[in-house]
Amino acid sequence: MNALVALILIGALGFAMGRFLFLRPRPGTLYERFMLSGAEFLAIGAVIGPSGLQILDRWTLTNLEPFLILALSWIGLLLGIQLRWRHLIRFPWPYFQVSLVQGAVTLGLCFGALALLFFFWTPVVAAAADRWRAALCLGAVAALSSSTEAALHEPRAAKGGHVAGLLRFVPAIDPLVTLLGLGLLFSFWHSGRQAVGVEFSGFQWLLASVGGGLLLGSLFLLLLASVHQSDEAVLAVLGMAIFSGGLASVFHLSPLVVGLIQGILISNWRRQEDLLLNMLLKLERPLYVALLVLAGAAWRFDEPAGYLLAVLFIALRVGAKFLGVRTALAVTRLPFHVPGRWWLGLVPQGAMAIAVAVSYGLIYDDPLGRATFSAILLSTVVLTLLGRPLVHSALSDQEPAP
Amino acid sequence: MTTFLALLVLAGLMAAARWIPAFGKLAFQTTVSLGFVLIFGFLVGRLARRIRLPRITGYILAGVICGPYLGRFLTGPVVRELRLIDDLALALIAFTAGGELRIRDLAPRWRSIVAVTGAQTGIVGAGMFVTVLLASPLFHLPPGVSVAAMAIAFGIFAVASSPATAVAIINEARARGTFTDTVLGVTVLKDVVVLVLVTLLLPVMRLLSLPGATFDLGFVGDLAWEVGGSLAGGVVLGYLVTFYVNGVGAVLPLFIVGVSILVTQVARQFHLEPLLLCMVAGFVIENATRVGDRFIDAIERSSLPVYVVFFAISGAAINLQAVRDAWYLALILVVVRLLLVSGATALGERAAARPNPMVRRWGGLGFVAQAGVTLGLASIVARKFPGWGEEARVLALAMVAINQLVGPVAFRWALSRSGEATEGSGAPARNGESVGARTPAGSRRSV
Repeated sequence: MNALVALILIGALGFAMGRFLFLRPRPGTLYERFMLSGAEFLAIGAVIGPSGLQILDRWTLTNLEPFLILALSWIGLLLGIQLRWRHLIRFPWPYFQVSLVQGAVTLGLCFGALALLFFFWTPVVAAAADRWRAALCLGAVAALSSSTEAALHEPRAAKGGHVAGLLRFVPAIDPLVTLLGLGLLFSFWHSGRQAVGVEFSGFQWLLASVGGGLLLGSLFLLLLASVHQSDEAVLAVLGMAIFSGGLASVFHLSPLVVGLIQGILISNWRRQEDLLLNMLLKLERPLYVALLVLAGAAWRFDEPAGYLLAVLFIALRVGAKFLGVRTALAVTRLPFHVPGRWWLGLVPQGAMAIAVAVSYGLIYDDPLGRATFSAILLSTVVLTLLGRPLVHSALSDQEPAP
Repeated sequence: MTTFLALLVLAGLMAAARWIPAFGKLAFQTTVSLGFVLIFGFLVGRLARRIRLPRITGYILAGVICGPYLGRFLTGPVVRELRLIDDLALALIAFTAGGELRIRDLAPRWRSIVAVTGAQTGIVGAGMFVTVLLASPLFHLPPGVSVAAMAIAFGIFAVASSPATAVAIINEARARGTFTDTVLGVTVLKDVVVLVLVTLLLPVMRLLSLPGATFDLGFVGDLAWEVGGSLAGGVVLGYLVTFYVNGVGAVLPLFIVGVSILVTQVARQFHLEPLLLCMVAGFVIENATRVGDRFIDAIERSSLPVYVVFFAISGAAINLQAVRDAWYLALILVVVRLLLVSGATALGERAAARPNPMVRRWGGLGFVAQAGVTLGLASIVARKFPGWGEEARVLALAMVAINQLVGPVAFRWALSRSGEATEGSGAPARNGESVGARTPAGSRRSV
């Protein structure tokens, strides 16, 4: 199928499903959770993809990769641009401590356990480097939690209170841990000379990631200085998202990480960040929908290794999250009591996990990489569907709002 | 200063990417190149405006500079990949062109438009035919080649002009008035005429140059289908779009982008002319419904990135090798064409009910630019006439290169002389964030 026609098909599907969502299914039903999870877009992608009805074949999917890169870069920028120093300092320091410590511990535990497991056994034949990469990718994804739409629709979360506030805050910050993990992965387990023809050390690739992000951010700032009209600003944002994503991909680095660094630089340097944020948010939904559909299409659901790895990953992640939150709360002095089951609220995952999987899958297309991609997709769907009861349970003991 | 600095940083980053020996998969290359073209084109466009050149000339120059024949930031395969955007751009431009043709503005000028189109078709076509016949010894053609067939091809090439460039320059200059309406009307009408000419004259050329070829009247049916089908399809599409705008109305710019791509693909499948189809749809939406303003505004909101890429890639595709090989012949043909077009326009305008002295004097400069239509015709000729088609194509490429660089500047200058260009005069734009809603006499936002 022609790639452009495929893109329209995906856009039309996304739009139609978006309209369908406004019909609002009956609250509390599994059907509602499914419709709010984004899993429907993954399912559509899987059905029309190469492993399904083959309406989208592999060739078309490859041709649509620039679009995936744009989406990843866009998400990275969006995340970075929201990290404004002068806004962040309004939150108490212990909130950051909880977010970062629980994320780092979860990442470390999952990575360690999976690296150990992969040392002795993998669901598919894999080279040593592939095992390290897969373990770190899954560890990075494990650190992510999500205030999914399902969680936000939970009345107890919407009611307010410190505990609910903390539950909304943590998922906004822990992607930093994930993207740091991803940055390390793409640098220290870089595909190297084979892929790009250049041999750098891991540290040098890391410097290239950060330096590239800063340089691109500077270019973005220069570009914004010569922008006077809104259509020019759209062009600048679009051009920079495509260019930086493409550049990161050419160097086999993650567009998410490079976009994040750019976004942080812009939001803290320039006063126009609200304008940019609004612009980025306008296209966020269509890009997310397309990302989910394309991720679904790229999913090889006929390969059993992914299912096995997904079960393992979910079990490990739940355990690691529990320990991560416990550790974070133990080392942090919060001015209020956090209920024992609060950690359950951080178990659901959202589209950011899929974005990480796509970023990984674009570069590492080995058998274990594909199983990892599949495991992340499956675990995200399962944990998103469980999101609402988990958030409900997490907030069941919270004190009333002040 | 910031523009120069941004250009330097951008070029440095792109050079770093090109330094990577593997330069990634084609998908990665295409992505980075697309982003590069968008930003580079935009910045060079700004610089061009500062020295009073049209922005689109800047976009085209940006393409030439970074294209495979000069800066080599863009490779040949990447340029071919990016040409996919041509369909989208041409459809959007055709929608805009149709939408710009308002019956109430055109009605008083219809005699002028028809007369200028007729004069250009006859005089320019015939004049170029004779010129090529006379200049044929300079072409060093192999023996046995039909010079007459080649002369007919160049006659058609010369009649064609670029609706895309005309619309882009009119938008950029925020031009509105009799001069603008006439040039736009003639450009659109000529597009149909060129389509008819190609269909009618290709069998004649085949008869002249291919031994044993017979005259097949089947082309009449094909032509009727192509023109009639495109007209009917355009009307249907116009009402379908109106139905969406009235009934749903959400994400209109994205919807139009999707429709543009889809219509082009479907039109090709059914052997219809996508440009004509979209022009008719734009015309119907503007003149037969009440959603014209919303529709055109939505197109313009998404048009800047598309225009930058379209014209920059057109520039990158300019074959500088061909220009170098055939520049003197091309220059002769370009000068002759310019004289013929100017003369024909002046003559045609005399037939108007109320001749406009500006059209008579400067109107010819509105038709200098040539792009996609001529290149498409040249490719058809190269494919169908292996004996001399390739030579004709190279010469046509050189002609288009010169015309596409000179044409926008000439048209922009003519618009200024006519007093209809309002950009920079403080006149309100038709829409845009920097201004308010559409004004009755306002022009549209700049490209």
